[in-house]
Amino acid sequence: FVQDLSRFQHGGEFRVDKDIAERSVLIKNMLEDVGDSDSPIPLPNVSSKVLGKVIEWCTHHRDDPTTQDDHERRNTDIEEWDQKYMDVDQETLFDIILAANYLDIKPLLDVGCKTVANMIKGKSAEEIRRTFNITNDFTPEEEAQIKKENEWAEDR
Amino acid sequence: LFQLLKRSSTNTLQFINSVIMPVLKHDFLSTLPVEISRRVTGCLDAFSLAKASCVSKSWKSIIDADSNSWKLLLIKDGYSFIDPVLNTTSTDYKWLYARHHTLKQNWIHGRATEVVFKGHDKFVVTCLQFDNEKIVSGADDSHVNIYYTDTGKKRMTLEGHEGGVWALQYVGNTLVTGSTDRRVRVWDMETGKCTHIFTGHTSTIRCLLLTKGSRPLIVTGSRDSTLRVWKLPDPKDVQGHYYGNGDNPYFIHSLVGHRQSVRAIANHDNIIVSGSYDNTVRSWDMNTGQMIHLMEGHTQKVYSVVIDSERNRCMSGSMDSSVRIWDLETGDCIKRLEGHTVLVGLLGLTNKYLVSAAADSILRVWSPDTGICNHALSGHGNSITCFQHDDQKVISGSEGGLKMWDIKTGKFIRDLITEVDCVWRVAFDGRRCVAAVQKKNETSFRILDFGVHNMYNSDN
Repeated sequence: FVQDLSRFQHGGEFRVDKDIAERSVLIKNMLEDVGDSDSPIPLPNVSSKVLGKVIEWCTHHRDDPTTQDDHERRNTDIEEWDQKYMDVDQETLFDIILAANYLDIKPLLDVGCKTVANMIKGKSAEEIRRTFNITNDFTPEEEAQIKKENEWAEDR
Repeated sequence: LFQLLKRSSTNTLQFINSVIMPVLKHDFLSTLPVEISRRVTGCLDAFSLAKASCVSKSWKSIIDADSNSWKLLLIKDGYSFIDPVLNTTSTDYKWLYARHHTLKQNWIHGRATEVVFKGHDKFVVTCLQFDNEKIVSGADDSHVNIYYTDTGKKRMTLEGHEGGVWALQYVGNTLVTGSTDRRVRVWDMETGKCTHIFTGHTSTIRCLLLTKGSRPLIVTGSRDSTLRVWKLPDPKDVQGHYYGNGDNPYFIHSLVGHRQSVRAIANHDNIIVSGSYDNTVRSWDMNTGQMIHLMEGHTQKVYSVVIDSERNRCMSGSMDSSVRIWDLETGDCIKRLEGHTVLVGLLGLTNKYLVSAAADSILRVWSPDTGICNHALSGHGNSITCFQHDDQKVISGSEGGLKMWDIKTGKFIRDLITEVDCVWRVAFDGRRCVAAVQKKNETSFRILDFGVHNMYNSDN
């Protein structure tokens, strides 16, 4: 089934079944443009380490239906396999999100964004700063003002 | 490197860790392309977002400017795009969300200012309507009083009816009242003048309503067993003033069929539904004046009706202690809701909840869809005299005072008014609750204003 295979390329080469590669809308469109061919597709913006991770996700989700409604996108529930998959350091998570965006794999992008959202959810500003190593760049006056503006969220 | 680490002391490892960990962390929101950051913020609830906006300058600007997420949160949590206190529209959705949330918390925690003032001497207040400017009350002393909503100061008394006022409704500055003197009066609330008197009913006018729409109609229900439909006059049209002599140019037609007093009416679009002491519910075509369905089933007087336009049904409450759901298409009784043990005098309906109140001192919350009783609100000591509800709460009055309930859980939240002999009428909007009460043979009003605590910050 050589014609059903397409290839990613970066540093190394990846041989991937067509249906897995086509989880990426970018690659799906490229394959449609060039027709069936066995030549490698260059992906200059993704490292092979991240690409390997992305292919792992695409392989697991190769049989997923391609559509999902907006409502599903707007909650933070993540299925168990994806949770384990996303249990990586922040740098890798960041790269996966960017790769998913570049390769146009919406469901992976959503899982990545939900993972970040879950790291923010329910935390105080100080806890969030610690989680992402962010410096508080407000002046004390600004901070007091902003705290006051958002005081309502403490009223539960 | 591994060997080196393996031989390092705990202190050294902790130090190395403190150097390495921050490097492996990543400020996602500030460094991701903004359309991806929006995907992250779009997954968060309002409270997490508010806290996250305090993290840093760039987080604040990303979150505060994410108008779409805040807009969707307003919709999701059932809030409107109108400021609940100022009644103005705003496109600062985060600010609007904060205002709605704070006001809701004020209701839940009972944070309100109270204005108390006397009115109508010792008489029964039978009807009450208010907005941000005025409170309009009708009583069996035959007077209609208008008060300023912010201070409770009386603006005017409308005198003219020769018997108790039993029903009123206004739109803009046009007020319509119905009385035991069998007359309908139309008033200009700006000047306090009665501009129209409609005669025709041969007994007490027990209920009335103004239809919605650009050219509203008046529908009146009377103890003479008929309903009458009238054009709503414009009080400013001096030429059209009419004092009940000769042919009435505003009279459209009578709805004839009931054999006893008409006790309750409801309207939606072109349909009028009436409930009567003849035990029946009837639907009418408002334009032709013809009866559409005769809905029989109640074994005693019908006291209340509401229209469920969403499902093309109507509901009725009766002295036979049941609530019935009727199909407006066929006129058939779809369900009989059982649970109350005596007269069901009052019904209220929103899209999500049907609420009934009975003389057994209990209110019941039903699903208008299935007719299942979700909650019985039990706590009052006597007949429920008045109530109103929305999709969050039920506020009910009885002997002793006014209570507030959580409509979702059915739990009692708090007493809003205590130590009164009776609550005659209650009405609330997003910001205020107004009640007419009786204490020691004296009638008075209470205005509870929840739009105060943390709501002063009206500048945007």
